[in-house]
Amino acid sequence: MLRFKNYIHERRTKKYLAKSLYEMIKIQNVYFDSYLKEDFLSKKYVYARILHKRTMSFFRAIQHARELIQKDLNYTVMLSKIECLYEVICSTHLLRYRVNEYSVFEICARELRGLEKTSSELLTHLAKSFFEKNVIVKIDDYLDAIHSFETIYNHTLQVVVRDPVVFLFFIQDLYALQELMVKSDEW
Amino acid sequence: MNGKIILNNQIRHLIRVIFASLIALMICYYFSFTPFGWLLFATIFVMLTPTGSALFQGLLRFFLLVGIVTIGSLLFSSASLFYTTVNEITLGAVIGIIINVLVIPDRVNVEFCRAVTPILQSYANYFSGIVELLITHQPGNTDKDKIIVESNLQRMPSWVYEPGLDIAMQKGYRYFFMKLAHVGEILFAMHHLARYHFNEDLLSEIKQSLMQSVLRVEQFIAALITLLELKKLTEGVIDFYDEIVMIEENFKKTVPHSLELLDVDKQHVYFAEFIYDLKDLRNALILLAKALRQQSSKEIKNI
Repeated sequence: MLRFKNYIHERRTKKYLAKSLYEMIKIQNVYFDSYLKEDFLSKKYVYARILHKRTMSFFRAIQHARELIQKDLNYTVMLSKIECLYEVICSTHLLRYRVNEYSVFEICARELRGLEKTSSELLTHLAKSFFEKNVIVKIDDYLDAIHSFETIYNHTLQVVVRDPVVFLFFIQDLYALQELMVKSDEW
Repeated sequence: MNGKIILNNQIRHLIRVIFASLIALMICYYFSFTPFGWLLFATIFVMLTPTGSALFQGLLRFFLLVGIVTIGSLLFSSASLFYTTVNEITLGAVIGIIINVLVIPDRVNVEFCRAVTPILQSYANYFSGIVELLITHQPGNTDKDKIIVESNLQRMPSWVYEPGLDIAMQKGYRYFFMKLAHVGEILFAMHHLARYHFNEDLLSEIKQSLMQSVLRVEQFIAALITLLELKKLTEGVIDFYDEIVMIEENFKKTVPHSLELLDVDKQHVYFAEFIYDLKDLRNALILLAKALRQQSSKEIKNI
């Protein structure tokens, strides 16, 4: 009976941790929409509302996970990593407040799409790894996407953008995100 | 105590619903046309609206009910049922909407202030925790402060995004809401950067300025709360521009000035980012204060 109870508790903890990762993907998608969708500036409040809803869902999921982990400390490391991931994602996407020209994002749209796709795939793999044992988290595609963004930063953005240092911060945060996700064997 | 209760929008809403239900029940008892209690149902249904948009959302809900009844009547081909039900729904909706709009109506500004004040206060504590973490490398209460910020953010007044809120106020509230979320994101970003171990010499140089900026942020947020409550500020507020300049100067002394060289060391990039976040925080707080001043002048005009 006790074993069954522990099993249920563990499943629920994993469920909420995975859910928080899925919500994080949705949050990231809204952030990338702000760079990639032309109507972002005219529909600022619509996007802000969507972002608010998704952020609240993430907070709820992480809060549930936190409550469950208080009773069983097995997943503390994972929880703190997810919390750090969210902080790094927030830091990364402060870029959207710092660059007001849509044309700048048009220059690197392909690279941004690559980053969105690969980071979402990575987070999905991490979420799946809670339930499936043989999930391989491929970091290479994400690293390639960062490198191609870094290339366009060195060749174009550094010259074109008024305050290029914000893109340097963006790249540094992308690496921080990668560092957090790459240690998937510890998850 | 009574004042506090009557200021609480949820209680005001509950009183309105009970009052309207009593009137609807009386009308049902004396002039009931159908046995299903459509009148009472419509009265309550049109009153279940988010804060500040009683008329618009009430009308929307009324049209929704009429639509459902119309489809039902078409399916069961009963014209008499349609007329009597629509009559009752209309009467119920009129009672519900009128009472929802006129009897102890929502106090949007009070509700907004009630929801926003704890968020601002938790931001001040969280910022102080982040600075402590940066200087001492001890998490202390930072994680607890973060949890408080998260739970307060969940109580943010998301009804500002609902259609039907007073158009004159809507834009200001939404802008304030967005800026508030922006400040939250900046603080989360700073928390990530504060975890990094920076050069101890640099930290000891800027310690004083950082502690001073914590004080300034607390004062600034206290001033924002005073403005939110539509009270007058007793003294001027100094923002932390001088402290940021001081931190930046100390940082420039220890690191290379050019961007290309900054790239070399991760520590330098992180610290430069921390300073940038500080500037963003200052700007966001100033924009919040500006938005608040405009909003309060609009509210005073409306009064």
